[in-house]
Amino acid sequence: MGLKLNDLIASGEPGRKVLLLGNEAIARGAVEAGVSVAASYPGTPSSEIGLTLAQIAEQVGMYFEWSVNEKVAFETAAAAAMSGLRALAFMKHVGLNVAADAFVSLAYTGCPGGFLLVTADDPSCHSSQNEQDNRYYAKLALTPVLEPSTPHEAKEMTVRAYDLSEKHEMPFILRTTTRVSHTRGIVELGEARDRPKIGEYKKDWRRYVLIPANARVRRAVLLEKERDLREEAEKSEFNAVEEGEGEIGVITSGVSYCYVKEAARELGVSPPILKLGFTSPTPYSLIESFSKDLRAVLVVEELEPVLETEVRCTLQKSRLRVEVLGKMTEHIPRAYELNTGIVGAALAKSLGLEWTVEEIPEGKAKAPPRPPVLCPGCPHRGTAYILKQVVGDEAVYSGDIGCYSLVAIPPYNLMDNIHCMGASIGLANGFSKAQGRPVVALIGDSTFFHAGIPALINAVYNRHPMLVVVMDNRITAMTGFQPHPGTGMTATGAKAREVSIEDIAKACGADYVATFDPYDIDKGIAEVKKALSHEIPVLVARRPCAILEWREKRRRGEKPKVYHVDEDKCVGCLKCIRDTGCPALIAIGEKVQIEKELCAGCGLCARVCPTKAVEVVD
Amino acid sequence: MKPCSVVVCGVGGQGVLLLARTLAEAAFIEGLDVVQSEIHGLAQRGGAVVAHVRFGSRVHSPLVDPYKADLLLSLEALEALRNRVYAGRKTSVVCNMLILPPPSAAAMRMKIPKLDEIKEAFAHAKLFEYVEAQRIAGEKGLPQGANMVVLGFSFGLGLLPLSEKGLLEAIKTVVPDRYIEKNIELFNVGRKVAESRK
Repeated sequence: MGLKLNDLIASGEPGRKVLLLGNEAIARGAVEAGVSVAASYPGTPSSEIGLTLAQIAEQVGMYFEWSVNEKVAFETAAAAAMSGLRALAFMKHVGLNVAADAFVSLAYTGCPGGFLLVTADDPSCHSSQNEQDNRYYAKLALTPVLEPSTPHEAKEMTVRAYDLSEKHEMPFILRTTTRVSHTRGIVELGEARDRPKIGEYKKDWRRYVLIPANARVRRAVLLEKERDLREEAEKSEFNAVEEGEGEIGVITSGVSYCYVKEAARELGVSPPILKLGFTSPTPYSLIESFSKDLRAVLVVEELEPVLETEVRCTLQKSRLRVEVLGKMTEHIPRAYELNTGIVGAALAKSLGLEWTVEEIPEGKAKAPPRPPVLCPGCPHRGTAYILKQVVGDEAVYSGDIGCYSLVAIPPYNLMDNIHCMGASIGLANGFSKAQGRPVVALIGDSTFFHAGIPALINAVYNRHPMLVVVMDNRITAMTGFQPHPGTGMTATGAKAREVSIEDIAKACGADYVATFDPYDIDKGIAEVKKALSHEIPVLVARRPCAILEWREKRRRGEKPKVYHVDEDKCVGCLKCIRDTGCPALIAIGEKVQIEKELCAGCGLCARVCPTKAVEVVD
Repeated sequence: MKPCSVVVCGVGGQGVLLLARTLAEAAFIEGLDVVQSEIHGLAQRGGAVVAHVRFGSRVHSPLVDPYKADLLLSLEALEALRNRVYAGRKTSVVCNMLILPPPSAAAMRMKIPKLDEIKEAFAHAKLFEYVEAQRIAGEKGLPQGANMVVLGFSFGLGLLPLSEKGLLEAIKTVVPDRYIEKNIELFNVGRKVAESRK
């Protein structure tokens, strides 16, 4: 299936309609726009752009890489645009926090080649640590923003962004939200442009060397560009008025437009709608002319009242007495993602109508919670078990971002904080100074490369005692199995030089470096004990992700070792379930059974069982 | 055609997203407008998964609102219960006759609702049917194919405003080549079970 779809994205003929995920549509947009260089660091909800490009890059002659982090991804793409090529960088919203320094500077220098940054915001924090609205970054750097409502628009805007970016020599932002990134919709394919492989870097000292004397000049240029881009937004095909009835209008952007349309249909009303796709710089005149004969406008947008603030500014600047309704007036809640019901209630309230919701009394039966859990055979389970045995609950466990974040929740409860990429070691630096408990930093392999290394150097340099455990499952697993510098493979599957975590730890000056297999509990326990006699030890807990292992075994036609429970010996104490939290263990009546289909054969349950009831199936 | 809203749910690894995609492709093949939305992220094996599919002459919102589903398809009974919020009085519910107790609930010896108690929670809905999709798929040698039994069963009951041709074409588009035949077989078995119940 994957191949069929990827072929369409790579070479589907213009005019053909295809059902694509928003992220796949953006990848197709990059193909059509003639993007030569694309770079990213994986992060939900943006990852499928890269999963798609990784599959098709060679076929279409594009260069694509998974970079070591978002800043480097941004810079890799920026240099391509500075060399006159069309370039794409994409990342989840918090990724731009990492790339922000490079981003603001690129706005100052601009670039002759088209540059698009896709930032995927995540209202409701479906897979993120926060709900930040990256349109604020556009205000910060004075960069233009396009906001698609649907996958088709995401593709159209991606293509158009490159023409505009080249015309104004400015980086553009395509801001998606989860319900655009992860929505499948009908996309009409367009013509694909040629894709040069090599550009030319035209040296321009006054422009690219941002020393204060030059930066001051570029600041003025940037403000001039903002004025030109506002003109562009005023006449953009992505900004359109839908005529309607009544004196209450709606101004909306992004996926919120879809909820407005659905809510209006359900209410049987047709208010005038100003749909904005090119939202920044704000098209003042358009908003003014749309609003001037209205009594009030309802502003509907995901996350922060960014557009609403702009509408208020516009109307105040034009001295128009039009009431502005939205998040600031509590017509729409500010937290979490919108839906038709939320928008419908706001629209009804604005129009003096009633939004009715069916009332269903609560049922008696309740679904028990089903939090995500570590997969059967996950090597992180063994590492967590070993640390519990040796270090126990006394230490402060500084956590990080990846599948292994799941050891933060029951039954392991082995992370006391999860902040952002690399913060495990970063925060551990401070914890070792600021409080008295021992400090353990738990970080994944990809995260270690991403942002762990400078923090480790700091620990060594400033003498911050801590145990660092790199939970190395040989892949960036959580976002869909992307390779990283430690895997010996590039994004497009070519062989690469494998960067050794142990060598890096030694070069950073760690006092002790050792490796263990988290399936080998005894060796692991011994290694942790040995490591604890040093001030700043780094341990690498290494075993490939169980899902990858399982796929590999299946490919080779091998049967994994499987365990079962001897019913006569099982006393139903449930220690195996409590200690391992393995989803293959199922309590049936007073006994435990092992789901054969799920068991990955790690044997941890057999080790913890006090009555030795778990045995290998012959 | 007025919009049809479907919520598909189950446990990670059961094929929830594949089932949702099949429905979306089938509607697309019929020339309808379609939007489908899903949540990825975190290790989803063993976690709760839900996808929304909406199709009709013109559809906008990628999300189904509370109580507004025309159809709730669940590959696991506790997940049906978790997504009860989508089921109003006009909603039809089809559920795989299967309970997968969450490991954490088992460890805490939490009470797990029984099949009849779960059915009871949907007493207000237009229809609630269990289908032994798991048993059937297991017997046919493709335990991960319960989703196709549920699909065929729903079609057999006349709950899907889509043609058989469109659905079969969609299965061929979405399912990996080597599993197409088996998936179609499971779809047909599901349909026959529904027809025998009418």
